[in-house]
Amino acid sequence: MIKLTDVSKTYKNGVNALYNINLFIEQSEFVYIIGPTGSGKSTLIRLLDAEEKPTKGKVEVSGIDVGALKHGKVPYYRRHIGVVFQDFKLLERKTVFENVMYALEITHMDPLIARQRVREVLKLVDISDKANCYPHELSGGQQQRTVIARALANKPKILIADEPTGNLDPQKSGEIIQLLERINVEESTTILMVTHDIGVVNLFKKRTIALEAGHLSTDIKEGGYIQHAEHHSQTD
Amino acid sequence: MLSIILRPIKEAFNGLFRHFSMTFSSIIAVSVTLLLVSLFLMLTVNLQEITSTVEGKIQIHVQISNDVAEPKTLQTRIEAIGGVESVLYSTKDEELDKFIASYGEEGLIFEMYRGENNPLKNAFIVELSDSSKLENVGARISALTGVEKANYGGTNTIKLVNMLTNIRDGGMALVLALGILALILIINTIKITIQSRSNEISIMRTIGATNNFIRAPFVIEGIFIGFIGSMLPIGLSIYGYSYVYTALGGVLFTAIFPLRAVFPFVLQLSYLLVLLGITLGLFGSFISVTRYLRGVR
Repeated sequence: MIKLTDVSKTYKNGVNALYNINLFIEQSEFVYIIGPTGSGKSTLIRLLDAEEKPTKGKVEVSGIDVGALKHGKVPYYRRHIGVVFQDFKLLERKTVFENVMYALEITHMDPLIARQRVREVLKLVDISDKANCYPHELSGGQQQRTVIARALANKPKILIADEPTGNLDPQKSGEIIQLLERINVEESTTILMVTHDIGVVNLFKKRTIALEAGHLSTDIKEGGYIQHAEHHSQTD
Repeated sequence: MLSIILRPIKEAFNGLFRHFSMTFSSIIAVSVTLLLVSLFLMLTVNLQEITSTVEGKIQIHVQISNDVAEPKTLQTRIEAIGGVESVLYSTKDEELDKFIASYGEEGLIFEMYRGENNPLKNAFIVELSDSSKLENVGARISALTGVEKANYGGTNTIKLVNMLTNIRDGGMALVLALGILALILIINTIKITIQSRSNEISIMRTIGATNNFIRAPFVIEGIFIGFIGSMLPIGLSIYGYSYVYTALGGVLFTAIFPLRAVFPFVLQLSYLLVLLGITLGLFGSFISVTRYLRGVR
């Protein structure tokens, strides 16, 4: 599903973000990616999202060589992966409903079917009552749910979530993880979650990958990462 | 399928109303720009009108010596001088007709000079293709044998011609300044549009919208802003030009300087302004969005 082979990334300003990363994530896996600030987590997401190209190596998603995608093909690729951004990236001039609808409109889906699908995902993330609100009228958690709904609208095979619980209290965080778990199980969606939240990593045990200064330092298949993770959270 | 066409239009109108302050300032920018363009067009057209009318009226009156038996030869030689547009032969009888006519009723008294007693000379009326050569052409005609006198109104006419040249040059400088001002306004509007929309555009791209899908509503918004923005300058131009034209009696200072008639000039001006507004809006938004899209992956 996701395969990184000897991937390195050096930015134009000379910053080395990732070194020789080799990684394989199977269909329907739920994986945490942890590590201190500057460890390369964001770069990893940007490579998977086709925002950046690897300096060396190959990034493959569902058999597509992401780094080799032409500018014009990038949008079509992105429709197959859902991304939950840390800074939400909601369209300020659109309501919750329209924000989610936009993700379907770009695929030229029949409007009637699209509206039905929007209602479904809004219900799934439990934000139907805020459908006509604008992003600035929502709390952080509600915006987070809207972003998840938008990421799910196109039924992506992969969902990448960048700090989805970053702005939420522990109870809300738990709800979001349970939601992601449900999506993971019910829709067989591969989930990649970048997080600092050690409580979450500890409570919902999943495969955990740790990055440290651009290197893949640990890959624990069965989860249970408490000690080490706490160390990382303290360095942030 | 219909939604592919209707969606960007709906989207564009949503954008226009939800971003009202932005829409409003863009419309004002287009209006001010087009008002400048309109002012510039009204100035140039009238400058052109005045100078060409005046220049058309400048001619050299050449009196021919009574000794000249064959005026045709002399005419050919005058026609050969550079800057001469046309040469018209006028007999001494015709000259007397014009003289009498110029005095109206009282001119009848000169009828007694008809025939043998006519003191006037046969003449050529010379029109110039380039009025700035007036002095030079006048001197060359005077030098020809058989020419008694070449009259072009002397230094006063030369002053007038120089003044017209100055007005035209000054007008062009003003027009150039207005053009530059209009251009700066357009570039600034586009810059502001990019800045205010860059975040929105990059989000759309991140979600998986293609460039054309992102661009379409912006371009329709631009066309609409251009259309609405042209309405104010059109109204002001029609009203303003008619007002000035009537107030001045259709001329600038004297009848020698006629202004371009209100109709159909203001209508032609209006069509041009609408077209310019729409084109400005279309290309302005297209360029601004495209320039931004080029920078994001």
